[in-house]
Amino acid sequence: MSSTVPPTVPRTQAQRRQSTRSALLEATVSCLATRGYAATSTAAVSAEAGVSQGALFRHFPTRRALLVATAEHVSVRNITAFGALSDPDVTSVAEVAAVLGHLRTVVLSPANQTWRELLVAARSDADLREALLPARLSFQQQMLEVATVWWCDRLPPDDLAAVLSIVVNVLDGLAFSALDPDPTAPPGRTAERALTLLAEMIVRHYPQPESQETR
Amino acid sequence: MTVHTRPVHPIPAHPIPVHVVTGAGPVGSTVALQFAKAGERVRLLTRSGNGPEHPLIERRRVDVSRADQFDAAVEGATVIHHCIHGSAYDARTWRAELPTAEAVVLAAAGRIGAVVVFPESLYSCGPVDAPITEETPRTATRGKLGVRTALLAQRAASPTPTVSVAASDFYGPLVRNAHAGERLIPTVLAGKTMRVLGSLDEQHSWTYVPDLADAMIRAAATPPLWNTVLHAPTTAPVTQRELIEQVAAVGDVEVPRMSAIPTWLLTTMGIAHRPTRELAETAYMFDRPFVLDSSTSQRRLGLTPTSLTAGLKASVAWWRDAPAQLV
Repeated sequence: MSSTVPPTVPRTQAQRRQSTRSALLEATVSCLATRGYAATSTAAVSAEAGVSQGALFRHFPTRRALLVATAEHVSVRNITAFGALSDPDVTSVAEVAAVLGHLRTVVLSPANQTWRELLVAARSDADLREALLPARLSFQQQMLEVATVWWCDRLPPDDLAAVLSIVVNVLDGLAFSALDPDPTAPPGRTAERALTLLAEMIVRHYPQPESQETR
Repeated sequence: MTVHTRPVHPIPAHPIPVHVVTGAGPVGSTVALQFAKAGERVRLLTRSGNGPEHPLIERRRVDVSRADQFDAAVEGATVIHHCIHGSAYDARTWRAELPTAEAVVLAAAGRIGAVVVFPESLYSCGPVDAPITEETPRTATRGKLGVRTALLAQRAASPTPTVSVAASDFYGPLVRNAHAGERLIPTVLAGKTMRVLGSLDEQHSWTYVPDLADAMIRAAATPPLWNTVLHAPTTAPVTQRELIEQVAAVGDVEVPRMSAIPTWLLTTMGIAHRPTRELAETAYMFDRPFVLDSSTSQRRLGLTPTSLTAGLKASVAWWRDAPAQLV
């Protein structure tokens, strides 16, 4: 290296810790997406992250703690992606379909495979189920709050929660049945039509402005 | 206090006093226009040479953070209204730009015997659980809040006389980049969905920028008020919902749909997005009551705030008249 290269500012202990933690979480996301739950061992994750298993256990005392932290990490990413819609309009069917299309890319993202892998595993693992519960509830609540920001008072709160549940379950189902969904590819004809039908259903539930009511 | 019976300078450099204003954002522009409308000469210093056009406003291209440029530009001034803001809404930018520029201004003003008036925010008070008075500690340390605390300390430590006039969130003509600016008024006038930060239903103080400008001008002309922190006359707080309803009423449009973007969402999104993180840093002002009490300063200044209705009428009229490229 040439001596004219300016020295980089040394990172603080906290920054190094944070960076190792992020690398471990990302490695877990990647392992779960490509190898699946069973093969996502602490050895596989630490190898993927390029750190020792000892370092992994300094951040996460157990494999389960690592998996729960990864689920929370992916939730933050999903919420951020959903919240990053800049003031979407949800008046027309086309606008609602566009928001649902955006939600599709979030739900089908490779990172979100983390949640599906963990939920399937948790079905037969009571401890994992219990450990994941707070993150699940918090994630659902936060997605609902973002949807509330986007939809305002166009739908009653119970209906908005039900609509979100329908949309997310449809998309999760799509991810299971497609096996290898590409979120960046346009949806197939059937999926696209399904999202439009959902959008029509949502818009049909909006309160009608009084001035437009005809007798 | 008696009126001066002789000039401050034995041989005045200018027969008519010149008011220097730095920065042509909403505050600097309003201060300059208020002087000009009163028939007084203003020298408006900006990096770009921009600012309101008026025969009594002399616009000069000056980098305020450079002493060599600034010293020549303030010749003959008895008051400097220092109204520049950071080039980005980011603590790093503020730390890099603002203290240096203020040090240059304080030193130059000290040499020529001028008082420096600063518009100030409530950032240095940090999160509060009571209305903010002139006595509320201004000691916040983190991020942009800490930069404001450091600036107040720098002013206090300077031998140059200063007055800081603190305001809450701005509204009024010329106010674009503010919660009650381009995000709110054109949206409500267009009947689009209004999404606010924090909460729709917590009390919040809104300062009318012309009231801030009046207070700065009055404070500069009142030496007993020098070396204090004053509050800009600010009308009683209203919730963001009430503010939106009043904008709609004044603009004679339907009250739009509205919702509130929760603070936690800004914080979450801020993890990966620096501008959102900077916004989240001050979101506490909008998810709990945030009230500026200006009653003491109003008495000391002899000023009262413009009513919210009158202020919003002027704001709505300005947005409706604003050239399309500004909207």
